[in-house]
Amino acid sequence: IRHPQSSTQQIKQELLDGFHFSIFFKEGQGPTATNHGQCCSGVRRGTEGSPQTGTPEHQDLQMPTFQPGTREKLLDSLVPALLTKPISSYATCPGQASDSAVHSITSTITSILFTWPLENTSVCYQPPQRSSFRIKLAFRNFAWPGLDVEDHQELVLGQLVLPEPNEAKADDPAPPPGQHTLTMPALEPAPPLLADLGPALEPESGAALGAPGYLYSAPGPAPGEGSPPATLLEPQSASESPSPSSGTVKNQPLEEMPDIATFPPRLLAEQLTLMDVELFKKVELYDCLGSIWGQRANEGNEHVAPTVHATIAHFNRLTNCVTTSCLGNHGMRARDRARVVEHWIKVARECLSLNNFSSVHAIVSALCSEPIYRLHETWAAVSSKSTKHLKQLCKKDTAVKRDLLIKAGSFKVATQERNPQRAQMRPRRQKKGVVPFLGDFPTESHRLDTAIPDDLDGNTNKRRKVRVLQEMQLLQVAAMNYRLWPLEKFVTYFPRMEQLSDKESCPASWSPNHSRPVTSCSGWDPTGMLFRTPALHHPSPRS
Amino acid sequence: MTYAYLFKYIIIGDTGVGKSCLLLQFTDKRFQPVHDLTIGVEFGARMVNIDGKQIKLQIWDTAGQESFRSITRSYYRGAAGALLVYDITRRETFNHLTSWLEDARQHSSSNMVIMLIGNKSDLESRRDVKREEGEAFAREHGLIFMETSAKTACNVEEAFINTAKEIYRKIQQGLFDVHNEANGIKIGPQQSISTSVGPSASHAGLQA
Repeated sequence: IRHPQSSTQQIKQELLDGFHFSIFFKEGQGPTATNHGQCCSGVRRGTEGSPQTGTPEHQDLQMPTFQPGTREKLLDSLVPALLTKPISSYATCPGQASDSAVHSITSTITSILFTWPLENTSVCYQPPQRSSFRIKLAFRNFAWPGLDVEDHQELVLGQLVLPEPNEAKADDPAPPPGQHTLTMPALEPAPPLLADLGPALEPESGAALGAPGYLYSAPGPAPGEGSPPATLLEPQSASESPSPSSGTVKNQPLEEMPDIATFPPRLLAEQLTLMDVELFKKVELYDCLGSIWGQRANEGNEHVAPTVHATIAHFNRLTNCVTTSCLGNHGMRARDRARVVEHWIKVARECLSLNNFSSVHAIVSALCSEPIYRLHETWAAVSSKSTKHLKQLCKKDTAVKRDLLIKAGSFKVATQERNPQRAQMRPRRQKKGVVPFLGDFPTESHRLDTAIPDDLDGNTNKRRKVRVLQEMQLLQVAAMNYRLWPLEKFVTYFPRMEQLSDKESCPASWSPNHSRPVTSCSGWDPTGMLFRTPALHHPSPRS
Repeated sequence: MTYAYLFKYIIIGDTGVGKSCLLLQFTDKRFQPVHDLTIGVEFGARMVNIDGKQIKLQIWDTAGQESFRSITRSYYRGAAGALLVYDITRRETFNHLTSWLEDARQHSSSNMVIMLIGNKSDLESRRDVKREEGEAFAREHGLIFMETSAKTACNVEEAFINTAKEIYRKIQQGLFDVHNEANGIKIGPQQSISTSVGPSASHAGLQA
């Protein structure tokens, strides 16, 4: 077992080495890490002028300065405390922070997983010529439950700090202006494995959950102020925008709609992933708890969990698009439909290779649902290779498999790239993001809420719930790893794709000219995947 | 453990009617994750005995995902039985039965056996839907009906087992093609055709 402090020191050194800081921290200078590596040495610095030391014994620690060109690399390698956007997207904003940027930055919420260390345990860097804000760094040692103890991770957290209007308060631990109204006292400070977080997880805890700006994400920077391209896809309002990009394209003039198959599978998969990522990163974790999500059925509660609703709307839209593209055009022959089916299978495979479990699930579900599955002639015309691929996809498209795949690969992705130099050596494609299928999380927390008996002390389920949230949060970090850019053509295309209504696509009423509708119990099972291997998914403790 | 048949069930109905609780109650807590770390156990399973035959019930639970409509619909495929659940203390869950039923009928095998369940029968004082209303709805739509309490376990076994009996009866009548897994029925691994019952064994089905 590595000692938390030594590993923390090691990362710190790696980080500093990697950036060729002009002044190094001295080994062993940091206070003893006590709990989960609650961190290292501290230097705080005013927004202007000379550095101010946080603690007397660190007088000799100087503010490191960035080598030209390394700032971006540092920013890219940080895990932002504010998960909505990578920290680099703020850092590339113009030096003068606008009101909206201030608003979104100050909406930082100390999160359950990445508890921000105490005031004197973080390190502040001020990027040269970027005097309007500082970047606060903290090093956290983090043991992921289920991973080997040897396998605990260290994270470098980054948080932007806006200048205090009053310079005299430059080293005050108080949050920047506005932030105090948005943090959640009930959650702060939160221990790493928070059995005592319970009160904040209950719906009755209005003080925490009702905090302004909590249930609803703060708006992003205003358009045209240097947002990264990916923000093109942001829904303007989660509750009003059924698909990620509808807001941006609604009023554009109609053009000829290309066939979906004209988009190469990889490109389609990347664009879908981009949309999924943008939605997933915005999901408010607490909305997935049964106590919040479960309220949605009650009258007057339609507004709860807008970020979850936005994700579901997009998911349903994608499945509908798959269905429509296979059925929609009545002039299509079985062979035409088969080509579309094959195309979607390719897209799903690409999505899987992109770790986009959400789109995989959406596409596979659509292909395996009655309106498409019943098309005998179509499936007969689908190549055996594609059928085999669909079968493979079905095998991987279960909640348990997803969980395993994610745990096997993606958590490390979220944390392993802390050494930018080393990361640079790796091919870019290895820096993978991940988008889970969101439905797995509400199902799990619903089950914990309603069906799994708790133990005597009543804390086991609470811990499990926190773990579900932690897992989601780590995945949101991993989602930052995608380096994808929106293709304007697709961004405008997707929301305008024709969608069949339920009635139109259901077997009873839909009757294309060139396909023989068959009854739903006709026994067609092209993949043979209607039953999944019980041994693989059986939840019995025996396995 | 070997079995003669495997029947696949789904549990559907509004949020909060007690779908997961019913499943948990029936599967004797065996639905619990293997350990704390597994997210997304999708179904529970339990062996029952019908007419001297061991039958494995595999029950899929989608609680919490009701809004992912396409998901729920993909689960209908290949289900032999469905438990359509409402909450006797919340009338709106009863009012939504029609659309659930419509959805199920559109996306499933026409032979799927549907059991209507009025859950939370232990909360008699808060009852909002009369037993007779449930019975009438079931009669009108050709469903089997029971009131259950997942909390006290009242009628829970019966609900799952009666559904299995009805499926088994349909197999014996030759209404289900047991060789076609799209119907939600699978012959057990060690079962030869000769051990399967009813005239359905002669139905070859449309295999790919």
